[in-house]
Amino acid sequence: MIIMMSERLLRRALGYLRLSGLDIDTAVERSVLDIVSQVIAEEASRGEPIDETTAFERLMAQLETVFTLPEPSLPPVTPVMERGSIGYGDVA
Amino acid sequence: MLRRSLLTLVVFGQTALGVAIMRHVLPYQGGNGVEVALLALFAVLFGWISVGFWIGVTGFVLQLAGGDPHGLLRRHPRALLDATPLARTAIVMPIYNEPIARTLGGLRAIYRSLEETGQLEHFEFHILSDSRDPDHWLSEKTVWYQLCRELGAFGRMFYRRRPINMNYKSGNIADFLRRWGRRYEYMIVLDADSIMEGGTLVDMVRLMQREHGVGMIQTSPAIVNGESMFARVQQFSSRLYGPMFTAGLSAYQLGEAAYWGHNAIIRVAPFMAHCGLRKLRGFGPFRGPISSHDFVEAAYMARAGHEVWLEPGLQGSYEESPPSLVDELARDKRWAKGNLQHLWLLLFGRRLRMAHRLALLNGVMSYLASPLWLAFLALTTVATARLVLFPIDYFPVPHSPFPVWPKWNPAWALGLAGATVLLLFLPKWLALIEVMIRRRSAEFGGGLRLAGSVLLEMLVSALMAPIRMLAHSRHVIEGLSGMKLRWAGQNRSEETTWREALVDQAPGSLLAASWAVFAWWLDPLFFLWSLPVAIPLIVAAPVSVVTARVSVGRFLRRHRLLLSPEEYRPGAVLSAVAQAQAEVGERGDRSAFVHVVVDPVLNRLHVATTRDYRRGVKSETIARLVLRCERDGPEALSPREVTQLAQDRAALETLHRRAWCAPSDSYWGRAVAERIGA
Repeated sequence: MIIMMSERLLRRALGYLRLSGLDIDTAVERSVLDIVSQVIAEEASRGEPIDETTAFERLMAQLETVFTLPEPSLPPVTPVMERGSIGYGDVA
Repeated sequence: MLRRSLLTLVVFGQTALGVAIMRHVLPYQGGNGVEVALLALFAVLFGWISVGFWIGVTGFVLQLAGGDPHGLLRRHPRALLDATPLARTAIVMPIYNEPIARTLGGLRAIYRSLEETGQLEHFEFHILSDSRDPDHWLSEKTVWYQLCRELGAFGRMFYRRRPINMNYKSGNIADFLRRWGRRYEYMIVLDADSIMEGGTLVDMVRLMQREHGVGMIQTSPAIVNGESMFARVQQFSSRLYGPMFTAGLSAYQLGEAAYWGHNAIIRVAPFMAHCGLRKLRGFGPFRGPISSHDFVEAAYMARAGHEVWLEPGLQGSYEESPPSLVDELARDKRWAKGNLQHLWLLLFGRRLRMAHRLALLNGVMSYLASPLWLAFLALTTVATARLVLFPIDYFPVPHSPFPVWPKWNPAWALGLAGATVLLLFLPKWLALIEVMIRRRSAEFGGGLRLAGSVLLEMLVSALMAPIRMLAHSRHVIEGLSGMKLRWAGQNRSEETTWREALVDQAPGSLLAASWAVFAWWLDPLFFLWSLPVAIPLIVAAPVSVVTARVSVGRFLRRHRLLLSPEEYRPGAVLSAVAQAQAEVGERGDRSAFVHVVVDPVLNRLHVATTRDYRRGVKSETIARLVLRCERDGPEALSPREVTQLAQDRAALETLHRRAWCAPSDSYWGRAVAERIGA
């Protein structure tokens, strides 16, 4: 059970980091493994079956603390506004 | 002025002659009410086709002469034009639930083409979306982001979606101008299927820079990318006959041309100052927002003292055709109502120039001609029925002591019919002759195939004319009766099914069959006269299905029939569109919202470009929607509810966070697993 849970946590953590634009190298993998082990240990120490949602919440919180995710470069959606009005030529 | 006076003189003279002959063809020589009405309708319809004929002939002559010496482009030597500095120009593409790969793929090709001219720095691109379906506009925004990254177009390509659609496409453009209009000297308006070469865009700006009195320049877009037989027929006629008719039209309109709504450049300041569209204050269909805006905007621009030009010399401007007759007629329904609305402006618009009132009349007649033709057919049936079924009336003129004997002049009737056919078809052969003289027939498949293609196009046109006539008549009646207009994106790819065609065409086919039987019963000669209209209507469903088939279009292309120069030798920008279409990802299904929630980068993009709408009661509604969406997924919500979530920054952030914490067997757990490829 714990092994399956660890796999799920690991897969999700690595997926999140990869999709966030982080290069997954050995150092990253090692850090993620540490985080997953820590999350599992903390959850198991309560002596109750591991709640998946709580485990994922802990995992995501840890990831945000440990890793600095690359800020995606986002284009400006619109230029600076230069307001004008529409006129009606029939008003003499 | 001289040109227009001559055209008027020739058309009126020709129409008067036609009416005089028609009068002799009628048995009582216009001696009763039915025949007077017939003559009046004939005069309008004959005059209408005469205008088209002489515009075609003028275009033919001008093309042989190497173009119109008074044309805008010919005023400026090439070297002078090339040395003209450019000014900041917005390229705007209003879209409404359009196929994303095609529209934004087209925009990518235009961007690349403009980049190659080395003048990209003067242009900015604006995608103006009115799309309503949340998955669709979320996909549009995602593809816009991908394009920005791919093209390096950060700060040069923008995306704006109006949360509320008001006043159709013109409202979308007005919304853009209110926000950013003052930023630009010029605006080039594209349609969702527009393609323009970079060099053409640059030339348009340079022409505007040299001609300060010009408010708009309209190019004449050629139809391209036709795949079905229907689209390829339209494409062929647009490429063979289009340039000739455009040259003729431009020669008469000169600086008082019309704006066709896209593939045109507009001087922004006068457009903003004078071309706002007030709601109509009439009754029924003549009340409310103007749905067909382009002709009216051109009329207002001219009223403000600016010239509007149609410039046939500006090549590299393209658009697409609806793929089938059914789609064309669905589009025509909107256009018919829009053009009929112009009747109000034509009659009551203040200080409009005569040329633009005539342009409005031209638009109205494009649709009104159909019920007039239908009325003409109905009256000929009545006249024949009266002659056959009722005793001969020797005294049709009241209080006249002189009897009138009904007379038949079959030779005159044949002559008149021949003249009408000539007016309709001779310009097409002139266009073919022009291509032959210029030794360009290879671009259309070669001399023999070109002639065969013209014959095929004429056959298809003749088959479709009565179907269009009946449909347009219905559109006019619906439009004038004030039926509600439904604004929908255009189908640009699907074929017509048999069921669709039968449902659409069955009433017309039944009517035509009944009419033909009645005609036979009245008089076999009248039956023969009815056949050119009755047969196309009876076979409307199969014609509609077969012409919508892509396989038929491809078969003809393989045999080099209906070939167009762009098919013979595709230009760089058109090839780029085809490539972009294949490469630009299209989602537009229910998964777009899921991707925006799950994907960290997309989520950040949408969060960063979305406002925080949470206020008071709305905040509670959104909180409830977030809970429902978290529990059951977006499929459990209506499109409107998904839109509410997609428009709310905090909702997107919350859902993203919760999705990544969702248990593996939940909706969002599965969505996350799918995204990371687990």
